[in-house]
Parts: sequence; structure tokens; C-alpha cells
Amino acid sequence: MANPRIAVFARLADGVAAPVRIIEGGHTGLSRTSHAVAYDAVHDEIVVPNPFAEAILFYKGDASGDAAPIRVIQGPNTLLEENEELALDPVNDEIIVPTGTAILVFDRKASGNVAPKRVIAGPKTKMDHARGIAVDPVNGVIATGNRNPIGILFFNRTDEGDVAPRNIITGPKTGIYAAKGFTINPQRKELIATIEARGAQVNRKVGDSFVGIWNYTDNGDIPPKAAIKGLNTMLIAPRGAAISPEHQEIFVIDKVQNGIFAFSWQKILDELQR
Amino acid sequence: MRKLQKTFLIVGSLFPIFALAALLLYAQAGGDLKPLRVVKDPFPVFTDVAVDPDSNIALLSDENLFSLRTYDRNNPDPPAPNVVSDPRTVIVGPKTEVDFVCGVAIDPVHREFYGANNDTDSKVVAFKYGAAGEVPPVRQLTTASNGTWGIALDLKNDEVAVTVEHINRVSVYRREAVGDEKPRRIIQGPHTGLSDPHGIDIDAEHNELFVANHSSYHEVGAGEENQNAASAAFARGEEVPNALQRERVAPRLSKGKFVEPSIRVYSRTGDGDAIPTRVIEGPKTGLSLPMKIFVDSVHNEIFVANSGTSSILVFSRTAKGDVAPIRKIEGAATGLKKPVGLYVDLKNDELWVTSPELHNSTVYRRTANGNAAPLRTLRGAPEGTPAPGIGNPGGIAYDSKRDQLLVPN
Repeated sequence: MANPRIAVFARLADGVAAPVRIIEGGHTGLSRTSHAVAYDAVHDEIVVPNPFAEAILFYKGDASGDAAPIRVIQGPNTLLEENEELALDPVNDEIIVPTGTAILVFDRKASGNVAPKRVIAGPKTKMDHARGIAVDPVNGVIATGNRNPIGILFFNRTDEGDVAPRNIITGPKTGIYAAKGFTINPQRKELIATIEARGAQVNRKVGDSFVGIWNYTDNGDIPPKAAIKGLNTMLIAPRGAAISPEHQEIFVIDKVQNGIFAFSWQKILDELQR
Repeated sequence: MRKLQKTFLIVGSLFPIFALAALLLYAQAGGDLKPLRVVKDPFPVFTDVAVDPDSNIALLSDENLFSLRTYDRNNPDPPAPNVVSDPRTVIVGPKTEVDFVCGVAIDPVHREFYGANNDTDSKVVAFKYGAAGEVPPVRQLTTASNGTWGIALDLKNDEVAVTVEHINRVSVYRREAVGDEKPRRIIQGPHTGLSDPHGIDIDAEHNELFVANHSSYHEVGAGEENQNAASAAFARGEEVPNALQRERVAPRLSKGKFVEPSIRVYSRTGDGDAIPTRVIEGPKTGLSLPMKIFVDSVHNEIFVANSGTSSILVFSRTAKGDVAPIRKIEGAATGLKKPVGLYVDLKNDELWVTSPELHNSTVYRRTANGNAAPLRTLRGAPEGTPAPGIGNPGGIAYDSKRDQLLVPN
């Protein structure tokens, strides 16, 4: 629904399920258009962007109801704008935020009107309407979706300033029209990306959009090594993705279906083409 | 010749087996997996409501299945708690262009109704009374790249106005505007105080325009478009014209802050970076995530769906500053839960409210106050049906400590 909130569901929820708790209300500072959320298992915190107030909000891991954030990053020095997404790096204690023109990196513990620790921006980066973000703290990789060139840009985690991407996945064989949401599998050095087909949000066709898996080192016109795609998937406009390595499951949220879809990760691994 | 025929027969008989094998192989390679589990709501979730008492129509927007529905105004109750209300008409499907629809408006003079799509396909669509099924709108007007929420009709001046969340703007068009037609006027800019605007209403008798605002604010210049317009167009599958290319590649100083929620009142003909003529704002007001508003110029009252406190607030039409509401519908008996839409039926002296988290719309006496029970209930799902409440979601995270999934709207 159009109410700003974070709904929390049991992993095994199925069908017409109610959330087990909801963070919503006037004190939460939430807005609509928060197109990402991160859970910090190390510090038991929830992190979410508020693009309408150009802020990053932190909540306790068990927050519920009209809970106020425990920290807020906001103010002129933050350079936040159109910050609809973010990624969490719990190893290096950093929050990574794409703003369309830049990738901003903040100290996870930062609060208030703080400048980012690092900024990746400039013509060499090739960033154009960068959307969606993932970070792998173990292998030192940041990935973001891009509109021109259409595809996925990879940077080193510690990159700063006007730097070229270390590799770009782009081209007709990739099947990418719009890369929307990302998650990672550090052990396998793989990026999992939700790929929205052209016009999917308007024509609402099931099966054109997909979830693709690429290696971190893929460069150029490379098709995904595996994909969740087809009529059985029920996916129309997949956005965010998350995985549970423990349960061997991948979770995909769909913008048109207004639903959560859980898939077997093991089945995907069984079908890897390379 | 006989040998050729035999070969053809053998190959022909094996073809279905080859085809099936190829299909299975393709399906595996393509990963056409059935989900293990799906959390999804099959019922309509009502956002906003409008009423035409003369035609006995209650119009509701459904942001879950992307539909516009009409019901009998006087008898919307289902026959039993486990049954849903029977709609007169349902407009649904890609051809209708009804998408993540939020605000609605109804025009009893021209016998038309309107829906405002909030995201994805952020446009206003208009239909004639009686339209049903997957039918195209009689008019569609692109009001923003994304984020249109509220809509208000001004039949006296033949205009229609909308709010746009993402760029803190009110746009006023001629009533029959279509396509990419430019608005006659906009209200936008730092002096307007608009912040994540939602509900809007026009009081043509007193020449005023009312807007409900949330707490998230970022500074936008008068006439400024969404920097993300190209991305929004791209998401809809459109070719992105060069004019929408991003001009700036360097980050800028951030312009965001939190403000008090408010009702801001402007001259009806306000234009550009207009200063409100008065503002209802402050702790006494009790405003918290104010959604739809309705201005009753007959009884000089403003009705507010106050989602944050699960209540309906009623202010004097001329209220100003940090003032308490003159009435408040709130409490367990009201059946309200995070209300979003409302409408005052002046002919029948009734107030309609939507509670999306309950799949319903409830009807009260216009003068109801306190812990008042509804007169009637329009139900989109059997009573007690859980509401996942997932709306146009973009992100998901896994909480490994609690074995839970987090989904922001």
C-alpha cells in the first residue's frame, strides 16, 4: 500500500500472510520510495533510505510500530539526493549509497550532517542514473546498475573519485534492460541481479523479466550463468533480492505483483551453465 | 521412395519426444522455477474513495490489484462477514492504464470519474460512468514522471489539480487536459512549504486550495522536474529523449530535512513559489501522516484522514496555526486502521473512510465524534483477512537473527 512502512514477515510466510510486525507511523521518519533495506546481523540494526528527506535511517533490529530511528544521516554535507537504495558493509562498517550521479560511502556509525568517507563520481566512472547497489566486503567489490551504457558497473570497494569501473557487463547477450536490485554470494563470487524487461511495469507480462547471476569478473557482453526466468516464476517486475545461505533460498520482491517470492537456491546452483 | 517415407515416419514419430526433451532442457537452462512460497494479497486494497449520491455510486481505488471499482453507495455491506461486497463495475487490466492508483475524484456533472496513478505510470486516467472491464480511459493526462498522489476537481472553474510527492508540487490543469499538456499553474518552491504532499482539495466558493503534507522535505525549485525523470521513463520502457539526460554529473549539497506535518492553504489561483495564506501545524493539531483531505465549504470544516494515529480529524475551515481539531473520530469501535481515503457526502450527511490494512471502507455520520461505530462497511475481503500490505515494493532484506524478511513500501 502507499503508506510508508517496513513490513516484517516470517521467512516461511506463504499466501495471504500478515506481517509479524510493522514499523510505521509519524515518528519513524519513513517515506515512500525506499527501494532498499539492509539488515545488519552484527549490530542488530535495520538501515533504510528516505529519499524524500534525503536521509539514511537506522532502527533497532527488533523495531516495531511507531519507532523513531536510533541514528539519522542527513544534512548538506552528506551529498544525499535521490537516495532510494543502499547497501551495508558490516565488515568495514560502511553504508554505500548510489545517488544516480555518484556512489557515496559513509561510516556505518555516522550520524547527522556528515560528509561521506569516499565518493565515486565523475565522467570516467560512466555512471548515468546509477540504480541498485551491492557490496562484497570479503572480495572488495561494489556493483551498481546503470542506464547508459545499459548494464552493471563494477568498482573496487575502496575506489574513490573519478575512476573507471574495473569491469562492465553490457550488451545484447546480457539480456539486461534495467538492472534493479542486487544481492551477492561472496563464497561463489557471484552477483545476483533482478533484471526488468522493457515495459514490464506497463504491459505486466509474466516471465519476460528475470533474476540473473553473473561472476564478479564478467566483462562485456556476457549472458548470465543462470537465471530465474519464465512463466512458472510468476515474476513481472522483480526489484530487490536477498538470499539466505543457511536455508539455501533466494527471496525476490516484485513491484507489480506486490508480493514476495521465495525460490530454491540449490535448484539454481544445479543449473549453473558455467 | 518407400525408404524415404519410412525415415520420415520414424523421425516424425520421434519429433514429439525430441520436442519435449528440448522443452525440458530449455526450461532447466532458463531456470523457469516455481517459487517455493509466495506472499501476495489476492484482494483489493482500498486507498481512496469518492461518492456521487445522485447516482448512488461509491468509487474506490485499489492499489493492490490496480483497479477502480464502483459500488452501491446506500448498500455496500456484504451479506455476511465472510463475503465480500459486490461491485457494480471493476476497471482493471493493462489497457485501462490504471496502475498503482491512489487518489480518486468523481464528476457527477459530466458523469466521469478519475484515478491518479502514483508510481510507474504516473498519470491521471478518466472514465465514463458505467465503464467496466479492461477498457481504455476516455482521457489520460501525464502529470509527472512519478509520484502523483492526490487529485481534486474544481467544476466551478473547470479545472483538475494533483499533488506530486517526489517534487513537492501542485499542478492545476484544465479539466479536459490530455497527454503531455502543460498545467495552467503550478505551486512549487521553497516558500510553498510543500513536503511530500498527499491529499488536495479545492474550495471554489472561497477560492482556496488545501494540501496535506508529510514530514519528509527536500528543497525543490519552482518549475523543477524530477532529476530521476529519465529513470522513471526508462522503467516504463520508454525511449528516453536526450532532453531528459542528466545535465549534472557532480554531487550537490543535500537539501533534505524533517519538518512538521501540516495542512497548507493557498489562494486557488496561486502560482509558482507561492506562500500559503495559512498553515495548520503543531503538536496540538495531532497531525501525523495526513493523507486525503476534504473541505466542506457548507459547514466550514476540513476533514483529514490522519493515518499516523488511525483517526479522522476535523478542523474549522479557517483554522490556522497550532490548533486542536474540533472533532476526532478515534477508538476501537470506529474500526479505523491507518486510514488513507475519505469523502464527505453532503447530501446524505455521511463520511466515507478507507482503511487499506483492513481491506474496507467504513461509513459514519458526518458529525460523528469520538469512538463512533460505522453505519455501514464495504468489504473487499472477508472480515479478518490478513493484509500483507506490500505496495510497489523496491527492496527486501533477510534478518538472519530472527529468520524474517524486511520489506519497505
